[in-house]
Amino acid sequence: MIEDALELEERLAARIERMAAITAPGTGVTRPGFSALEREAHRALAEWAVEDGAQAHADPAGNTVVTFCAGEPYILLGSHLDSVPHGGRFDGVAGVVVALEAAKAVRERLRMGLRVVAFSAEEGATFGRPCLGSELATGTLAAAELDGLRDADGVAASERAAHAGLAPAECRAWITTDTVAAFLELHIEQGGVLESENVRIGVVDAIAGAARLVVACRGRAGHSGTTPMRLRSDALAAAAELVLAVEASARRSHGVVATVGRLLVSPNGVTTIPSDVDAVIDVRGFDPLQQEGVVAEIDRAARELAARRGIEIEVRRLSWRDPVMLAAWPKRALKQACTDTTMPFRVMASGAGHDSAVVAMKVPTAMLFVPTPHGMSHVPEEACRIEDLRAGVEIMARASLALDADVIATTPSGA
Amino acid sequence: VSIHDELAQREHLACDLRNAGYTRRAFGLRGSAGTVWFETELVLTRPGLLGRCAAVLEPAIPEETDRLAARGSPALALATALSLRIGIPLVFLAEREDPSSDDPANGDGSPVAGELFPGARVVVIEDVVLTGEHARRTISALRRSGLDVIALAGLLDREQEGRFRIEEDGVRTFFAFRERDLHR
Repeated sequence: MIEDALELEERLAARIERMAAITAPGTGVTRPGFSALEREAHRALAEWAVEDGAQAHADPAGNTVVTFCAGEPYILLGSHLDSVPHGGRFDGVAGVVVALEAAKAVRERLRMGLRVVAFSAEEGATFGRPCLGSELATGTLAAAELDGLRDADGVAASERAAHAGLAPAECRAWITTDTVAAFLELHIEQGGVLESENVRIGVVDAIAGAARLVVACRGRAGHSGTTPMRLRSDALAAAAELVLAVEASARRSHGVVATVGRLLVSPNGVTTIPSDVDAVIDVRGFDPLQQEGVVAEIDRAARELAARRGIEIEVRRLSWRDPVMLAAWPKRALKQACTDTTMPFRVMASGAGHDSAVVAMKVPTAMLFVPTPHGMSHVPEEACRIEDLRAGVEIMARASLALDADVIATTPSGA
Repeated sequence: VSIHDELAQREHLACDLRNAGYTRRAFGLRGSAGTVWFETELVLTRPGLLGRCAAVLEPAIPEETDRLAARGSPALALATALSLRIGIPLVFLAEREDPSSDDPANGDGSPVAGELFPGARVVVIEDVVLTGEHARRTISALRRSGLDVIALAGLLDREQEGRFRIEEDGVRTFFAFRERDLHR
């Protein structure tokens, strides 16, 4: 299906290079959501659309849509163009440039509509909540909520968006079952599974949910030399037990990972028994019951510790996101495309969140991963082999044709 | 949305079922036109979905139920998960190689395995009901074995008249989801 592989790889590499140059100063790529830099990246995409003979427009939330074939419903391909601070050049961008090439490869052969999207503000690092653009496009986020989301400088997401020339409040939910027949997203894996198994494509079947908990341990401060062990109420020793309980609980539950990524110790002195510890816990699972089960076990462990050690422990939920299943139908098309091209692939779950998880709540959505060498992502060293992106173009193009045929055949009046 | 919220849980399950189960294909069997169908095996082979599907059927099982009955692998997986939750024993019905021999008029009926006793009150567990023929054969086989079929609890009513045919046979039905619930 891909006529000139070398030419395609050169084009992919050049576009990724061009996007990587749109960054704030410093190492790696820094292109926050709802920033002038993100808008510049979207303008570059609009220029490519013109080069590719398509039309681009941005919605009021800053999602850019490139129309290759008009008509509804359409197949939608794409990803995002923002980045974490000092991140890599492939996260998100790879999915957009691959989508453009796949769309070009099949546009003449499709009977239904075909569009490419670059969602805005996907990275949660900027405002503490990910996927703002796709949430606005699917109608799962009210624009008013952007007032309560603030970046590291304390500026509201709504204000940043307005400053970048956007008007999220005017964004209507345009991703519906009437408009989008299926959404496909390619993304770098951001982990080491594909590389370790020497597999080139991951077909994603579920995207993990996430629960964030904060556990506050309140003991009693005291002199580390004069307070006998039997008279202590050491909040950090209790927190240490809790850390191990979190690890043990996740190990018992297949498909759940749990991390205590932050401990705030007070007074944090060398000769003072810690009186206060706040632990922040991230629990991710592919099954809501398992995820809930681990959270419940952490809660039980905390209560048991509090009683045994005579300290106060409070567990609070900061946030909860359900795991999402991706759709069987487009997933089958991706797997069939891998089989037809003898491309080594595996089915896998995604521990990281993606726009696909948001879109999947509304329309049939599937996702493919390409390997990330050394599993490194969100760092300047993030890498991806161009030949794997070329493979991604091939798979996505073939899958788009198959989906087109399926929709045409199963829509009574034709698409 | 909190997982504790029952309605949210149900909506989330509906979304997962839609995603995990529905598929479509350009060419149907024997060259027929394209088809959209619910592939129950894709749903009930996943522990997370299986457990949640069993949970939504739990309220449909009357207290007086003596046995849950299932025929075919998907229904049996669902019935097993439900049995584990609520502790009511199962009876299995073998799928017949020749479906026509399941016709009640043919006499014998399917063998029913498990501890049985005359008049035991049985709830039939089904995964998906389309025309209802599969369920009706199960019901008649159970009746021929002397069991009292008091209800049918199904995961999905694909709204192809199956539910009405089953009810015409004198069996109450409960479905966790209707086709339209998954396509809202």
